[in-house]
Amino acid sequence: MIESLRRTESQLLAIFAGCTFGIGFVVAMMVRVFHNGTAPALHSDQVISDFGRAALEMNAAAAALRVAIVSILLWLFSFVVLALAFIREAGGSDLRVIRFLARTLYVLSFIAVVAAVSAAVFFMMFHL
Amino acid sequence: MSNLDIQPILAFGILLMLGLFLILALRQAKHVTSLFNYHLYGDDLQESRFSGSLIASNASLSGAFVLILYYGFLYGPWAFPFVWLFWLITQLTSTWTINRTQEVMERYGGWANNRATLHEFLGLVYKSPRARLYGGVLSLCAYLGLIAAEIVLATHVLAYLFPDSARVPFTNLSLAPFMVIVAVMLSILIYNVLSGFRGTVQTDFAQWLIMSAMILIIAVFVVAEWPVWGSKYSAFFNAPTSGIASALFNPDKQGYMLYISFCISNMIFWGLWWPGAMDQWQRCAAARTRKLSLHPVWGTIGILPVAYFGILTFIFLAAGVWIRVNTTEEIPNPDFLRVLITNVQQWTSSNVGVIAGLLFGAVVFWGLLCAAMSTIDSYVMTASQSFFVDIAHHKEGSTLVDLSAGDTEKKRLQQARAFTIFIPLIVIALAWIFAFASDVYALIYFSFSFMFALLPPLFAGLKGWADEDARRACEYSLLIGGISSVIGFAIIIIKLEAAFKANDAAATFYWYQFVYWWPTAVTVIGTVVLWLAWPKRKRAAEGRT
Repeated sequence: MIESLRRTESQLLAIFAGCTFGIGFVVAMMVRVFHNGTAPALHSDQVISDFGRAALEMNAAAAALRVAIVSILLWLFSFVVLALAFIREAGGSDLRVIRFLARTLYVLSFIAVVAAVSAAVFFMMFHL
Repeated sequence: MSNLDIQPILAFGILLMLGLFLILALRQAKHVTSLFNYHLYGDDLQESRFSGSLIASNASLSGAFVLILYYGFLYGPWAFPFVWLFWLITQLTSTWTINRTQEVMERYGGWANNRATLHEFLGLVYKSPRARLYGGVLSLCAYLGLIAAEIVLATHVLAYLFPDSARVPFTNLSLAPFMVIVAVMLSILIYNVLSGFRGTVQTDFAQWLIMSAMILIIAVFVVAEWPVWGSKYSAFFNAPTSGIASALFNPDKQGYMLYISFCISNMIFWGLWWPGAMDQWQRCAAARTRKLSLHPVWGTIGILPVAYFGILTFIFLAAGVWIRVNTTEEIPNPDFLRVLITNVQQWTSSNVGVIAGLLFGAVVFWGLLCAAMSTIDSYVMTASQSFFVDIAHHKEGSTLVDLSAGDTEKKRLQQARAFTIFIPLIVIALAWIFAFASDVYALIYFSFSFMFALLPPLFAGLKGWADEDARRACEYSLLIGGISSVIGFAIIIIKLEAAFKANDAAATFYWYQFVYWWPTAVTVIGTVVLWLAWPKRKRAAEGRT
């Protein structure tokens, strides 16, 4: 049992990381969906520097979009790691570097979700 | 109510659909116990699932909706008999292919047993693993291109969700919609990896139902708006009042020859693509017997697909005409999909009510997205099979059945899953490259043209002429066909792009003719090469008989 879990650790972690990045992406993009006024700020890639309610709402939405971009890139990367894990396991071995990448992505995926949820909470605070 | 207000509902709808498709597909994961079940379903495919998969995969944004919408925009409503004829011809050639395959495969142990798909068929009849490899590469190019085109078009549909998004660097694609469709593809990838073709077929059925609702709503819209476009279209196109011949054979007032050229080239283009389409072979091999693939109601030429494609054609041609009479643009573009959703929503809102407008607009949006999703998931599996079975393992076993039988430890099943993951990753890069072009219309034809390189040796094989002596001829034909497709379309796309940039409608329509004809030219070039390289002794013997 333990041997079986150890053998599939990379696959499990990579697929969970992929799904978690997916959740992070969805949460972050929902902020973008609910906020229709961020386009000018996002076009020029700038953050508004006053502390008015509208500006903070816009900054939260801009931050959410950046979290979404990072999430989707890491989501893609976790699928690459998953593919490598499948190939290595079919070859009969679980390469240490793949396991390391899978574990790292697994941790990063939780950070991405926390960042997305934080951006969403800030956004709601100023939006509602 | 503007489209901005319904954004959250549309987004939640996408999430719900994805959730539903994941549940439907992942329920099949436990049945995927072998490489064969992963790529070719198994032995328990039902009629309704076959038909659902057939229609949902082929009624794609790139292969059906956008092409037909463009035809409506360019040629008007009287293009209907010809465009429906395109479908009918392809369904008939597909039936012929199924019957011939069944007959030819009797010499190789029977199709029900070996379940040969397109490239395996070539490999078997020419006794050439290399022919199988070349065929696999051509199909892979075709399907990667079609999925990339689907992504680009779906990005335009999703622009309805994010009307003011920033651009993807160096392209005309909106960033947020592009990210959403990539995310949708990655979600699809989860069930593609775990459930394979079984999951795809199950989701296709649900996607087909949602697409049908979308078609129904657009049908209501175009029929209700008939007084508007029905009275205005004669300003752009020839109507029967100016003579039946003009309406049928010169609808766009550009001359008889150009339109007849369009009709004949597309009869060949639409009529011959199914025999060279790996996804059709995959589905028919999964069907196991002709009883299912040629079922009188659900089958390839069954009543249901024939009627469905006819209705779809009429409605999207009419929608194309509607857009033509309501715009000042002369050259079609993929943004018309977004325009169509907006028009349906606005019309319903002002005639039925705000809530109905919101609902109808949302269903059209989801339906178009489902068309993209059903095609993406099916084509990912088709490309994956070509990649893994026919390219990476072209020397191991003559068919997937052999390869699967030798995989007792399921190692190849694991590898096949890994190969499936790489397909969307390549597609994302390709979609970005496709987005450099002003329009994907020519790129859709370009992608399909690889299938036309497969046709000459395939036809010889289906006629029973192929054998080991002709394997070099087959290999050369496939190789030269593929190269001619790339070179020809590279020139056409560059010229077309220059015409787009100069906003020169006449030059654009001139180069469209090359777009229509080049797939046929690829087949002709392949046929000539096949003929020249065909063993002389054999040719003389065939001449005598």
